[in-house]
Amino acid sequence: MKAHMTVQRLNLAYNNCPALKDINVEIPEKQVTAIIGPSGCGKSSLLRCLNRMIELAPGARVDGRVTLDGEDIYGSNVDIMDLRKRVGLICQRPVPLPMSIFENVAFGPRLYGAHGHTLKQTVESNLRKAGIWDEVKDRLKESASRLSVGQQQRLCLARGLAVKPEVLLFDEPTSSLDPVSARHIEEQIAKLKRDFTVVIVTHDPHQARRVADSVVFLYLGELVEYGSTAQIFDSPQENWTRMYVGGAGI
Amino acid sequence: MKRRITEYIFVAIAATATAVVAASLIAILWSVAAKGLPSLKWSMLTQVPKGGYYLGGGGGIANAIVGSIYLGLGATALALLVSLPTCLYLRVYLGRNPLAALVRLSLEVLWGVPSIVFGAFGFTIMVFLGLRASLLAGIITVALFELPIMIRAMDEVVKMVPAELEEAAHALGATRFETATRVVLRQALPGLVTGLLLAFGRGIGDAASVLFTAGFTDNIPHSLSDPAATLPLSIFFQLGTPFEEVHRRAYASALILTILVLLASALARILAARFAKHTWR
Repeated sequence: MKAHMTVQRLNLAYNNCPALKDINVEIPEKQVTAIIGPSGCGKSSLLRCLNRMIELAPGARVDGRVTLDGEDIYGSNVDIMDLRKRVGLICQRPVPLPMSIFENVAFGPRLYGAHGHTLKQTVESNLRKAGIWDEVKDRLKESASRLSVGQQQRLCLARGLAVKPEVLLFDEPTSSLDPVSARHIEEQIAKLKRDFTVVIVTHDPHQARRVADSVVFLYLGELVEYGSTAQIFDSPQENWTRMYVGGAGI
Repeated sequence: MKRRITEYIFVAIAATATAVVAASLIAILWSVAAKGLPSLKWSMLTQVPKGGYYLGGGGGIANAIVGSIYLGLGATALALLVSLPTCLYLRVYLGRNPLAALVRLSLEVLWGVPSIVFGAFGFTIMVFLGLRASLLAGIITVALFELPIMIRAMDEVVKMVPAELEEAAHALGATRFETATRVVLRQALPGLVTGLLLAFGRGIGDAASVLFTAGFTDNIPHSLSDPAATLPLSIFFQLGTPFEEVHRRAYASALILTILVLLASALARILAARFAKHTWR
């Protein structure tokens, strides 16, 4: 399977305190890769290294190489705004922008010059892709903050899709949702991998098993094991992995 | 039992303090309204002072009402032009940079400076620029006086915008400028309007800063270079006369000024509620 992104000798420190140590991993194209591990192991930090959102964190220093289609995203000539358009991030807590439902989805395309009928079509098609169109089609001018949390998360997904990314990063996208809404998101992720490369951070091994094709297991900032979902869950090579996915706790 | 007594004592102190604040406001409004209302006539609002107005003659204070509104609006608009970029720069670009703390400290010091000092400073600028006492000089001085109030009020509001909103915009490829103007500003808009009208209220009601700079005239200003009368100075001059009738008119003028400030506050509340429709909570 072709690697869409690669992480090579990646180290991350916050104010000189190491958070990720010598991470090497490949993100396969048009597959779902799950990053799992206990709280504080560096899952979200690794995810945010993949589109340089980590640089917004105070005191963060990244060392190493991350490539997208073979090009180093930490290279000096990389347009960081273009990178973030190509590698979208859906956050843990749904964050609707302070505007209407329509304007939320239109926000990204507007930045890149979309307007008029094209913009309307973009909004509708992405709300459909996120599986929320039928629920909001008659209330597009309403404030996005009036939607339920589950709807807000799908709206954020539509907003992320509207800028036509190649890679989608999900940072614990279901942790603040009820089981029904969480199932909705998982179903959307399963569909999205037909068109996008997906990386999802989750602290729930069962969710990783349900949605992912390959799994990265992190512990205390180090990559313990990386392999196919079947391998990680059915025949883990490392003791830490066996304990974590087996639910024994570490 | 001891904890319950502590609670009762705290509630009693808090309720008393609140009552003192509310009673002071009511007392001020009552005193101004009771003394001012009987003298408040339509002609006061529509006419400029006629000969001998300050000795009990006819006319009104339309010159001061219009002058104050021009001065308040002009100064607030000028202060807004500086305040908005400053508070966005402090939040979006400087963040936790020590320079931001230094700027905030400077603004707090400036907030505490008496308005007469701003008046004296405005006078110095006026002399330096070769201006005479005029609406423009008054607007510049009152804008300087309003600046620390407006920036600090707006800064507090902008600081409260959740960082996740900025992150969401950056994740879509928005630049810091786009994030500041299209997201942070929209989220903070209700609070920004309140800050704006708070500064307007302080500006329109200040006498000392315009004492040397805006001048005083019985005419309505028709250009920025004309001198302008203001309500606070008009009240001051009316109270300075020995005539009872003129004193009563001073209270009527104070009532008009109070109504203007109350209208600005009410407008702030209405606009803030309107702009809060889309904010993320």
